[in-house]
Amino acid sequence: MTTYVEPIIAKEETPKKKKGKKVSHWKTNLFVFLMLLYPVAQFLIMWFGVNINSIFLTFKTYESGELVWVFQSTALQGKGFFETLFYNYSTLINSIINSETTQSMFKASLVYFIISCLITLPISMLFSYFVFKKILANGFFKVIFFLPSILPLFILTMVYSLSLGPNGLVGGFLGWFGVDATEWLSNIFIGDNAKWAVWIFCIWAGIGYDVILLTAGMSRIPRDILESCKMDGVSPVKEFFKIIIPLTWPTITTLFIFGMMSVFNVTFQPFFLVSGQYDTMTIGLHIYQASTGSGLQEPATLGLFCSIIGAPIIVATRWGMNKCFKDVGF
Amino acid sequence: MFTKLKYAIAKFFRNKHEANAQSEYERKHDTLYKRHGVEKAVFIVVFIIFAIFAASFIFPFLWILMNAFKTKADFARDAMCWPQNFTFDSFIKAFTFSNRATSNFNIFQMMGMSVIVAGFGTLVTVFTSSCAAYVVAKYKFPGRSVIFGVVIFSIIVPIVGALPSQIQLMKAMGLNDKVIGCIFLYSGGFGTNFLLLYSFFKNLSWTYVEAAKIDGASDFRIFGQVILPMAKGPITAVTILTLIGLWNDYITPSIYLSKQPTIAVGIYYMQQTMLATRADYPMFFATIILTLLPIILVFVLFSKTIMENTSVGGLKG
Repeated sequence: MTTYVEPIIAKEETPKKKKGKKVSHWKTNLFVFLMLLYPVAQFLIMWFGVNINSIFLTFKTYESGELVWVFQSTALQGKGFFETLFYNYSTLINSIINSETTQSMFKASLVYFIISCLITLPISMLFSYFVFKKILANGFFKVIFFLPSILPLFILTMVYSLSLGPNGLVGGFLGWFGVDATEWLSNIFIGDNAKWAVWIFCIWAGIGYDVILLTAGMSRIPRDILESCKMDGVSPVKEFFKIIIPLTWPTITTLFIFGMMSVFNVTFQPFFLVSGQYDTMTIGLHIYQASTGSGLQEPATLGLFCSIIGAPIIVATRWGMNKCFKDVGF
Repeated sequence: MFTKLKYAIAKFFRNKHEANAQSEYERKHDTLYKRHGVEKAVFIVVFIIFAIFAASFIFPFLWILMNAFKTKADFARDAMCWPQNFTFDSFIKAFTFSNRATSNFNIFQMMGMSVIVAGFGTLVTVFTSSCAAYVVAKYKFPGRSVIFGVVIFSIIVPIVGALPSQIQLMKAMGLNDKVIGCIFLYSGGFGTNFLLLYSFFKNLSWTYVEAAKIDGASDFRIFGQVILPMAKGPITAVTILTLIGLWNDYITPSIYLSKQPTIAVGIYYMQQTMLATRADYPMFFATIILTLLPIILVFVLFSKTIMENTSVGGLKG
């Protein structure tokens, strides 16, 4: 008897369920809309809005304290169409060709490619191999490598420059051994030495971040692989180059890309250490300082110029590096 | 309550001790980490290099801590010796220091600003990121792939020099020199936090949600009472990492909140007066120590969460 009734109830329920689904569909749409409303609006303003405005800025110029389109400028009247339109760009290219300050700025920024990608990253790869291989006190060293990531950059630069300063820790330490380095140390943030001081700081403070990410990448390597290496008698050097590097390649790629971006991103290291003097001015710092002034079109043009040149190179490098090793899921 | 706290602290250290003992045992007895001959020698050499590297981080801070207890004259005479006239004066001065450069904010007011700006900024951005990540990961709606594509594009392709335009836009919106402006800038839901939470939600089983749906829960209720509790781990990690990042952020508050400095900006202003004008090094050292205290506290409390999760964010970038 009961088995006979059940299908009828089921039949009755089906239309109800459909109705319920329709209602929930409308509600779900509302839910999706509300959840995305703020993030999308914020993104539209702070990413699309900002970048489109940035492009607009490169076609504007200052005239009696106000930003106007290049065509409205009285100073540019009488010039040709393209000459007026690309006025900011031609000014920039002129300064790249002729101005020594601009050239030194580009050079100083490009050095950070070497520092981040060719010095800090390889050192970090070696360091993280040893941390991964559980060198004595590896837990303690991990905390040390972590410090630069959690301390404010300004405090790190201050600690660095005060320790190296004339009455600082390094001078005092050397003094214990009878070495009088006062004169050398008082010149460390001046003149040609200043560049080196900033570069060494970038390596010193940059290694930690890379090591942390790389050891995390390495810790995901399955133990079986390492065990079979050990059993087959693979030498550590071979293990490092043939096993560890290919298996952590995605992390290495990411860090390499970060390193390439540092050409444009290094801003406050030279600012806090030497106020951007002595040929340490970078693109990032110049844009930061110029943005707080009045001539907004100039840093905007420089930024767009760098993006147009830099972005394809970086995207291509990422693509190329992803091709290097077969992606292994583990 | 006191005994409870005592117990918690004892438990914390006991756990730490046990973990250390465990890893030490592994290191010593695991065949994977058995080393011989040249390999052993290389490890000793690298250990010495690591020790020097670690010393280069620790000793400057100890040196600063030691000199913070000296008088100005003592420091000028000898920066390396133990404090002769042990004094807390520098700390007291650092507590109350404020002048025009810092907009008459003292160190506590600056920290308060940091708590407000970084705290609310973190709360808002973590919340918007989780909302956006959950919806994009789990719901099918028109424009979903467009949103995801644009977000990935915005993260992969570096855009240099958006700052001038950003400043102009913020001024146009009247958000310059306002706390809410800073929080608005931080409040984005489509940064790296989005990617981290997206991959978490993507792998999350849908059966709980189906069960809740059959029981008649609305989507909001499911998100609040089923999804968020399940995502507690990654959300805590993201929150702490974002908090540290925003607490230390210099660029945004230095531009948009220059008259109400947060601690990260304020300490730069203070340095200009304390060192350049007054040459009062011990006072500046005391300021550095005070500034570091909250960061160290957070790091000690959450070190495990922080150290285990920083990596994940970076891998996705």
